[in-house]
Amino acid sequence: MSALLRDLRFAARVLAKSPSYTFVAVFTLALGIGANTAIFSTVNAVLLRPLPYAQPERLVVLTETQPKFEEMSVAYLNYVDYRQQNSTFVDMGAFNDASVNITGKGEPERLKAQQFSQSVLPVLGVEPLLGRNFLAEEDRPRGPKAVILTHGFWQRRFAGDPDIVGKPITLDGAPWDVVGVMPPDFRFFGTSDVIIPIGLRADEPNYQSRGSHPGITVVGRLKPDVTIEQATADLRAVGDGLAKIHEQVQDTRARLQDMHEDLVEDLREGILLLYGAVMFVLLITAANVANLMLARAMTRQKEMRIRAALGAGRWRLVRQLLVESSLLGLVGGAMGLLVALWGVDLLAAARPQAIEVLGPIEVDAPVLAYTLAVALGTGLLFGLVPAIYASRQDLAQALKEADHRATAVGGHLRVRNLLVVVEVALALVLLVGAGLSLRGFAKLADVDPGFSPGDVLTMELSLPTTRYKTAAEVRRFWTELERRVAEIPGVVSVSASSGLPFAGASESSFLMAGEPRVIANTKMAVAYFVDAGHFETLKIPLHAGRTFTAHDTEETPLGLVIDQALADKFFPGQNPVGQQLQEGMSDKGIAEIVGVVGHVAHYGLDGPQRTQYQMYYAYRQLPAPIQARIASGMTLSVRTQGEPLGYATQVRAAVAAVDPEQPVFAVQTLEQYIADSVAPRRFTSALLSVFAALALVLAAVGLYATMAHSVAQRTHELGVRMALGAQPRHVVWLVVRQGLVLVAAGAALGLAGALALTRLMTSLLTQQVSPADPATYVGVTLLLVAIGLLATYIPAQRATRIDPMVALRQE
Amino acid sequence: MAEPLICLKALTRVFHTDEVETHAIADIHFGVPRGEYVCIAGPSGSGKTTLLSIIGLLDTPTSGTYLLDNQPVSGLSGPERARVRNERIGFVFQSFNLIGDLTVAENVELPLTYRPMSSAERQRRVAAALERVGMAHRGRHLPSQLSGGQQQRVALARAVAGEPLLLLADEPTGNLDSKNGDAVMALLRDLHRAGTTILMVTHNPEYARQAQRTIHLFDGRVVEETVHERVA
Ligand SMILES: Nc1ncnc2c1ncn2[C@@H]1O[C@H](COP(=O)(O)OP(=O)(O)OP(=O)(O)O)[C@@H](O)[C@H]1O
Ligand SMILES: [Mg+2]
Repeated sequence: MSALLRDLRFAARVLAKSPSYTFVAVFTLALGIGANTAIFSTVNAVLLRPLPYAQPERLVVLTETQPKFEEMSVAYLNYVDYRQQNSTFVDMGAFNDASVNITGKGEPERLKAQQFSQSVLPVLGVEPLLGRNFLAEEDRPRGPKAVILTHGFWQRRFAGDPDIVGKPITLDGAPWDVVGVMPPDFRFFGTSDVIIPIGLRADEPNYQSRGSHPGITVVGRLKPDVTIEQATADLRAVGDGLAKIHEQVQDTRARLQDMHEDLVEDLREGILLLYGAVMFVLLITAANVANLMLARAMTRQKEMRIRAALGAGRWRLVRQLLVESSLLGLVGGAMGLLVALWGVDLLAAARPQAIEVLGPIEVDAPVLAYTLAVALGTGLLFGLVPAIYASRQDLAQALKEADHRATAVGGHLRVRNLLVVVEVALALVLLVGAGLSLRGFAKLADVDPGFSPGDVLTMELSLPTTRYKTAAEVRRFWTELERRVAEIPGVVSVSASSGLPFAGASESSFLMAGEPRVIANTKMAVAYFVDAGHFETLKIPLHAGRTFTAHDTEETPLGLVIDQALADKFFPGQNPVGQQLQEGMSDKGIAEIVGVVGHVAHYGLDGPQRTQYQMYYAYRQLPAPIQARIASGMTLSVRTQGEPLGYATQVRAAVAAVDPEQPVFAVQTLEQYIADSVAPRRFTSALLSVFAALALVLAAVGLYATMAHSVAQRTHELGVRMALGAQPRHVVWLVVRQGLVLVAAGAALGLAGALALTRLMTSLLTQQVSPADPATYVGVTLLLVAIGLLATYIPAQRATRIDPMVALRQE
Repeated sequence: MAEPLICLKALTRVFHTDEVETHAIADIHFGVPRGEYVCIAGPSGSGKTTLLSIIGLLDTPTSGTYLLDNQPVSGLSGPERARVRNERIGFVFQSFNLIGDLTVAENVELPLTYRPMSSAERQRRVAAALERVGMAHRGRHLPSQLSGGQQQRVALARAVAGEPLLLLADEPTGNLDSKNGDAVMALLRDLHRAGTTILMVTHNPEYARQAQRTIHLFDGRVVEETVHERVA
C-alpha cells in the first residue's frame, strides 16, 4: 500500500511538473468522459433504469391487433372480458387520454387528463401521496365525480394546498371531489394534470361498441412466473370465445408487450446510436492521451533506463506509468463529470417528449459509478500501451542510438501513427453518420407535404358538453368564431376541423358501393371532419369536383371529398366525382363523392404512412349526436398574412368575445407540428453532429500533436536535409505528406467502417438518403482531409524554421 | 595560382547568449583557390565549425564579406542559399548524419532529389558515387546495418554525388578508429586528385598533412598558416 502511495505521490509530482501536457490530457479526457457520461445518463434513464413501479418486470401493455392493423387501441368491453376471463394476470387496468376544462377560481384552463380504471394504480403498485384511489362506485357510469390531481398540477394550480383532498373543483362546468394527489415522481405514459375514472364513460356508445377502439390501452400485471407468451395464449383463447359471440371481435385479438419495451422501443435505436457515437469520441480521447503519453515516454526513456539500471523490475515500471495514467484518468473523469452535469442540463432541456415521460435524465448513483469506471478504464487503456513500450528498454539498442544518429525510428512512432490512424477513422465514421443525418434533414425540407404549412396559426378548443349540449349550440359557436376571426385584418381564411395533418386525426372505414359489409372488404382512410374553408386555409389543391360550402348541412345528402390516392386506387381511369361509397361514420351509410383533392402527408414527411387514403367529411352534415361529439373538440386553423403567432392575441380575443369562459390551448403554427414530427430525429442528428465535430477536433489535435512531436523528433534529420539543400517547400511537403499518409489510411479505414456501420442508423435516414450516399462520403472526406492538412501544415511550417546548423552540432 | 573559389574578408561571427558576447570568429581573411585542399585546425572552441558553417552557407557572418566563386553571398535569400548548398557544396559531418529511415542508396540520392534531374540520371550518379567509395554492394541496406566507417563512406558518396565545387568536412574521422579514418582520408585524397576543392577540419596532424595548407585558428582568429610539401 505504501508503495502505491509512493507511486501516486511521484505520479502527482510528474503531472504537476509538466502542466501543459497535463492540461491538454485532462481537458481532452474531460470532453470525452463528459460527453460519454451525459449520454450514458440518458441510456440509464431510458434503457436501464427500471420503471418506477412495483416489480415492473411483470407489467405488460395490452393492445389489440387485426390483420389490417398491427396495433390498435382496445375496445372497452373487450377489456372488461379480458380482465374477467383471463387466468394469467393478477389484474388489469384500462386507461386513455382525455381533456377537461377547469373553471372557477383562476383562469379557465384546459387540462390534460388521463382516465384510469380503478384497477390501474393497484396494478402498478402505486398509491396516492395524499388521499386515496378511486372507489368502485366512482369508476362506473353516473357514479360520484372523483378526481385525483397530479403533483405538478396540485403545486401549480393549488400551491400545494395540504387540505385539497375533499374539496370540490369545477371541471367542464360540473363539481368534482378531489379524492387524492399523486406522488411527485409518478409518471405513466404521457404527463397529465388530473386523473379521472374511465368507468364514468362506460355507457357511452363508443365504449359500448366492440367495433370501436376509443384510445384505450390496458396495463396488466402477470402472475409470478407467467411468460408473455403464456399470457398471450391465454388472452387469445379468451378472444376466440368472444369472437363466437360478438361478430365485431371476429379477427380482433389481444397483443402483449413488456411495458418497458413498449415505452422505449422507438427510442432505443437513436439512443444507442448516440451512445455508440460517444464511445467513439471516448476512444479517440483515449488514443489521444495514449499518444501524448507515448510522446512523453520517449522523452522519459532516460529516466526509465536509469530506473531499470537501478534494478526496477519491468512490472515496477509498468505500475508507475499505470498509476500515472489512472491518476490522469481520475482527474479527467472528475472534470468530465462537470462537463456531464452541464451536458445533462442541455439534454434535459432538449429531449423529446417521448424521453421525458421515462423520468429525469440525471447524474445519479449508477451514472456516477459508471463515470468512475470509465475514468479508470480509460486511464488503464491509454496508459497500457505506453507503459509497455516505455518499460521495454533494449539496452543494447539504446547504446547504439546514442552512438549513431542513424537508427530507424522505433516502434513508438509506429504505435503513435497507428493511434492517429484509428482516431481519424473513428472521427470519419462519426462525420459520415452526422453528415448522412444532416443531409436526410435537408432533404426532408424539400419534401412537399401536399399542403402549405407556412403562415397558418392553429389552436385547439374543447367545448364542455355541460354548456354546449346540442349540435346546434356547438355549430353556432364555431360559425360565430369563424365569422369574427375572418374579420381580423390580415386573416386570409379560417376553418375549424377535427383532424389536421401531423396533428392527428381519426381513421374511418369505408367500402365501395355495393360491397357486402364484411371485414374482408373494409378499407381504412384517414378521416378529417372539416368546415368549408379547410382546403383554402391549408392550400390543399382541388383536383376535381368541388370542396364543401355552407350549403352542405345535415339536411343535404352526405358528400365526401377524397384524396387523389384513394381516387387512383379505387377509381382508376374513372371520374370519382358523382360516384358513391359506403362510409362508416354517419348513420346515412352512403355518401357521394363530390370532389377530389391532393394527397397530404399525414403521419410524417417520409417513412411508412399507416393509412394511405384520406377522406373529408363536412362535419355539419353528420347526424346531430355524432356532430356534437366531434365538433366539441376541434382545431381552429387561420391562414394569415405574415407571422401567424402575431395574430394569436386577436384570435383569443375573438374566442373570448364568443364565450368568455372558453379556454384555448395548443396555440402554435402548423409548421410547428411538422417540426415536432421530426423532433426526435432532430435531437439525435444535432447531438450526432456535436459529437462528430468533437471527434474531428480531437482527432485533429491528435494529428497535430503527433506531427509536432514528430517534427521535434526529426529536427536533426530535417536539419541535415536542409544542410544538403532541401528547400522550405521540400520540408513542408515531407511533413505534410507524412500527415496525409496517416489521414489517408485513417480515411480508408473510416470509410469502410462507415459503410458497415451507417446501415444501423436507418431511423435517422430518410427515404431520399441512402446509407451509402456518395455526396456525403465525398463531402465529409474532403472536410476531414482539409482539417488534417491544417493540422499538419502548422508543424510543417514550423519545421522550415529549423536551423540547418543542427547538422553540424553533435548533441 | 588559380582564381579563388572562396574569398573571405574581415569575416566575424558574434553569438549573443544571455548578455554574453562570444566572438566565435573574428576578422578572418583568406582565400581558397579552386582545386585546393585546405585543412583548418585549432583547439576546441576556436571557431572551426563556425567558420565552416559560414563557408557552407549554413550560417551567416555578423560582418565581413564572403565571395563564393566571385559572387557575394550575403544578399542571397534562404531558398537561394539552399540551392547553392545543394548544387555547389558537399558536406561530410563528424557524426555521418545519414537518415536512418532511408537506405544507403536513398541517402546518396537525397541531395539530388532537391534539384531538377531525371530519375535515371540520379540513379546513374548514385551508382557512380557508391562505386567510388566502395559501397555499391550495400545500396539497399539501412545505415543502422553498417559500421561507422562504412556509414562515413556513404556520407562521402552523398557529398560528392552532386558533383560539388566545394567539399566541406568537419572532423570526418572524429568518430572513427584509425583504420576507418585512414580509409576515409584516402577517399578524400582521391577526390582532391580528381579536382574537388576541399576544406576539412581535423585535429589529427597526420591527416592535416595530407592537405596542401593548414590554417590554424585560435580564439576565432587565424594565427598561423602552414603550407605542406607535396608528399605524393
Ligand atoms: N549557436 C551558438 N551560440 C552561442 N555560442 C556559440 C554557438 N555556436 C558556437 N558558439 C561558440 O563559438 C565558439 C566557437 O565554436 P565552434 O563550434 O566553432 O568551435 P570549434 O572550433 O568547432 O570547437 P570543437 O573543436 O570543439 O568542435 C565557442 O566558444 C562556442 O561556444
Ligand atoms: Mg567543431
